[in-house]
Amino acid sequence: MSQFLALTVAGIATYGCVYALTAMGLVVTYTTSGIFNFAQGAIGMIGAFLYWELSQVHGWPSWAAFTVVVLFVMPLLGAGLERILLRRLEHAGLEAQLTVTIALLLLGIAVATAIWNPSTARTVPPFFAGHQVSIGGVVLTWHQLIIVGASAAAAVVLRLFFYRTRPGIATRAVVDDRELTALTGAAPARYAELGWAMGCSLSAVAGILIASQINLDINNLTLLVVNGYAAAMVGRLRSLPLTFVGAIVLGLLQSYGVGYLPISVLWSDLEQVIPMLFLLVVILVLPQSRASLARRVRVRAPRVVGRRESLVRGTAFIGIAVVLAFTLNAASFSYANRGIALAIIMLSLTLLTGYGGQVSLCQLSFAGLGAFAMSKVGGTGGSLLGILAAVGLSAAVGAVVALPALRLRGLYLALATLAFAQGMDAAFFNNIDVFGVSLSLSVARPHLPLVSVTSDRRYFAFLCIVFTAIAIGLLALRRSRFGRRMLAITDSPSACLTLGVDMTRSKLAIFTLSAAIAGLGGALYGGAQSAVSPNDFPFILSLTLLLLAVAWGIRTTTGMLVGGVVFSLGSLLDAHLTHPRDAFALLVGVAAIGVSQNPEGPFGGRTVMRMWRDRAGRAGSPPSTSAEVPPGERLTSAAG
Amino acid sequence: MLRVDEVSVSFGGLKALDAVDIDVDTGQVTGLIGPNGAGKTTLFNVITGFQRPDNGEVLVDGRDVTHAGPKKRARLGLGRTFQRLEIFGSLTVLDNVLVALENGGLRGRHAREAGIDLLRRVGLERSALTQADVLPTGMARLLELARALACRPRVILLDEPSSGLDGTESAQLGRLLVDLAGEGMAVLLVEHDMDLVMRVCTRIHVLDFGRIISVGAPAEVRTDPAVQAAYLGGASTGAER
Amino acid sequence: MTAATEPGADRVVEAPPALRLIGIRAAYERVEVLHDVELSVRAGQVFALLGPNGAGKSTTLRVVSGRMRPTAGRVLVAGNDVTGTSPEKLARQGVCSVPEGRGVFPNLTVAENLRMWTYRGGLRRSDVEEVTYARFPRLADRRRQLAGTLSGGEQQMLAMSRALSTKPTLLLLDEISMGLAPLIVAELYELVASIAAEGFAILVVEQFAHTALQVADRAAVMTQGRIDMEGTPAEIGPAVGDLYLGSIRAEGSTTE
Repeated sequence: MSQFLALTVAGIATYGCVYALTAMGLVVTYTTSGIFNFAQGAIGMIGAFLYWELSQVHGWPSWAAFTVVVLFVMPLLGAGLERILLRRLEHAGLEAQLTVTIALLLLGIAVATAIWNPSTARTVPPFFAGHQVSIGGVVLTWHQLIIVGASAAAAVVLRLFFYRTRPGIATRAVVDDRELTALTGAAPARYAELGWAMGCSLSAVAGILIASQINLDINNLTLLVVNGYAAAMVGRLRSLPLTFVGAIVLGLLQSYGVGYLPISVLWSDLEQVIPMLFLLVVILVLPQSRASLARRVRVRAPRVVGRRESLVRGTAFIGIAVVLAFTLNAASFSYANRGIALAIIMLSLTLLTGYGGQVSLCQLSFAGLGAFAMSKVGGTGGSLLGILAAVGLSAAVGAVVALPALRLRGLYLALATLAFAQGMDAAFFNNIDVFGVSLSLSVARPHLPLVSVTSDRRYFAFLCIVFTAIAIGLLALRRSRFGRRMLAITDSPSACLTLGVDMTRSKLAIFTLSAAIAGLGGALYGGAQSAVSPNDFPFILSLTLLLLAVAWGIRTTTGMLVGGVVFSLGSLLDAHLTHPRDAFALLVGVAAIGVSQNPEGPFGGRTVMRMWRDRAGRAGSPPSTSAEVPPGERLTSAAG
Repeated sequence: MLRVDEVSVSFGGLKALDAVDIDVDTGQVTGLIGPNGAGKTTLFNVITGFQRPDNGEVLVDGRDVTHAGPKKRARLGLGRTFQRLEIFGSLTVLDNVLVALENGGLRGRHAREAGIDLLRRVGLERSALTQADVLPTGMARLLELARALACRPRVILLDEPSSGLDGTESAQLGRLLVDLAGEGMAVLLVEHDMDLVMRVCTRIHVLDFGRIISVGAPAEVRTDPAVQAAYLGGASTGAER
Repeated sequence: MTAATEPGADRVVEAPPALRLIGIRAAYERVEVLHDVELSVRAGQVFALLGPNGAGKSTTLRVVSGRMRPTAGRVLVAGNDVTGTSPEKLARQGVCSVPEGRGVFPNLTVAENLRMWTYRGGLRRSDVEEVTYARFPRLADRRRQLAGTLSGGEQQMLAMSRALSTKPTLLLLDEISMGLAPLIVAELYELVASIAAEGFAILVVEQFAHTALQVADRAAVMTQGRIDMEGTPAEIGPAVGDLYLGSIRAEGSTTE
């Protein structure tokens, strides 16, 4: 009984309330700006580090440091981000919106790593350290009381703000009817800014309060706050009270889970798995028709590459690759081979996201499964059965993931795949039964019947040929009957319904095929480094992968090649550059934010002239808000 | 061919459709008109399976499809266009039609030829290789019509096909609709261009406040005082609530 | 820029018209939907803009209220060039626009809706409530109710309360009768007439032509993005029926 009480207190006071703070922040930013902030966790982490810097390094009193960070720095940061970056994305596609906040997430981590060396241990003392009270036999520290108090206060303040003050009412008015809000004289853009300011502030409070309960660690803090996603989903990204309840329930589940469930081999990291399972369950049981985010976004498709052109370009690329294979110096191949293998994995995104319009954040999990299968089945000789197993296993798991995911669209699908990826991280990749005690698996390069490709040089040429073959295949698929249908489904599900097109089968096929490509890429990637470890497939790298894919043009195969190579060269950069730490992530973050201004990427065949024309055309385009559609006409949302 | 029997729909308290009866016969263009917000698009959605009625039945060729989904109705020969455009923007004009043709089983060159024929029919053959997204509204509507025809529907429902067309284009559209009916199709036309409606329709249903207030030949409907009131307002009867 | 410096402006001493459109063109994507629209509305005048669906009436209102930027031409409000001004700025300057079918925030309560009206400069909450509740006692009883749960007529009253309490220089009404029973429409138009009597300029876009013409001082008929005809209600009235229900003369029918 006393254990139960203690777990309950920990669940509410340590986790639940912190999740509540960050989740309410997410809801506020989402409702006011329509953008789901993946960087919420990173922003909270930055807030906590700033607080540490001021209070521990510069010796400010904790109340002063808290006030400056929470009431001045973070709101300014949030408002600035909204005004400079996010406002332009209001009418952009989901993947562009996701990319920019993912870039912010990576950038946040990179900036923090550059400033605060992760190898130094830091602690934030709790508020009123040493003071505690005992309630009914359960000991509560004052700090825990402050966490509970702060989250309750935040909930009350938000409630009062939204229902009692004019700016708060105007914020709700914007959500209700943006255009009418402008017509009353209130400037809608200002309220999105306000929303972001509040959201950043709330996540900083969460970060600071939790920092003293765990280590002040960049990744831990970022991820901890990520758990707020799940709570925000309970409130369907709209309702603050439901979000609060969701956060407390999640905190309790996590606490009881850690306390009561046996530390099993399968769930070695329950603390991380529970929130992700929770998120998955919430997304899957969420009524989709109401939560659907269907919006009409005009995306200019890149020119379709013809058969002859793709063959000519492919042959030329293989020619160059062969020349490179003979001329590059031996040291380059470790990077070059990884790069091409990553490019192969990224091709899976061209198919799934670029053509199929489904945003997945778990492609590296499939790649990891591929590498695992190659290692186990391919053995040390690199039997081709291993490749088959890699493709088969990832395709099978892809199909299993796709089945529930078929109901989901847009952001919900992205979050479900993220939950899957994080779950895989915790339960599979970091599991000693899978990766062994050393957490490393050796992966052999495939043994081909006629010609050996196991040397670095030959493996490079081999990878380039595989990449080219898949790329040409994808372009052919795009031109085929299946490709037309795939794009038709992405463009207008409603029209597909009235034409009698079977969408379920197509979507399932796309998801499975995409997972298979990622699995193949993963197996070859393992071969490139001859061993894989859990560090090769963390979900955060899946985010980076998507980001690079979008930045270089997710609908173009050339973009994936460049993206993969850039990704690989990044680690070269990091290996040779000690200052700043994590320089590559910094660059990627900055580049992605810049490039996201052109969502089709540099190889999408979009000339400057055309962009300019689009921009000019947009000035007079009618609003496409769902608010003006009478209930009977909401086809896209009903039909999804 | 298509029969709507006593269909009612309400959206929270508001009756969008109130016991609506409509018959659409093969070989005729049937008109459905009414002021803004009268419930025309809702009725379309009920007929094509996007909106479940609270009451009533929808019959296609005598078969009750009230509880069938849009896909099943499509296979029974029900085609439609949308008031808010639903073209496949990232495909070419020809590919838009091909999606429908190939779904019906045509392949390769046969499909392409059939596609070009359909585009020629609506006057879009010269834009066959244009990306559909850049078409002006009027042409995009014609593309939707061509795409719907690609499924060889027995009943076709058109939601304001002429908006965005100029005078000559809309006259051409009118001729095409009459031809389609002549080939044995049942056409239901929602349209605001009254000249077009009066010219091509053999029978017109007038919807106001979710109720059919008048049915008849163009001349009868046009002179019906209830219709005049519904359109022009004023002190006369209209719909009592 | 003021109207006085305009070559085409009235040289008379009297105040410039509340609204004047000069050579307005506007386009969605690349399709032009307004071709050279000109009109002017004086203070105290109700101007009815009529025409079939898709003629460009609502687009005209979008341009006037700042929600859409014209590709050519100028918008003058009380003599000031406001072309390209943002809708929120225009609203604060006294252009009150009630958009088609949705002049209220459905998920805000009646009282909260009224609070939104105070964004028009210099208004206090109590002023708005006083004016509104005095005119529409029914709304006072429902002040805590969500606007979306009100009847259509009550919603339109709430929307009109913005016009009443914010004392706009120019009031734009877009199809306020849509989806309402004739009796309520008549009531609404009595209200429009009484607002006009207070000296505001009102531009009404309406499908129920006869209803609108009963309160209008002046009217114009629009088709295909052009103003075809402008005149007094008496001049416009007889022509409207044909425009709406189409002419079947072309087919040589004998009914007309």
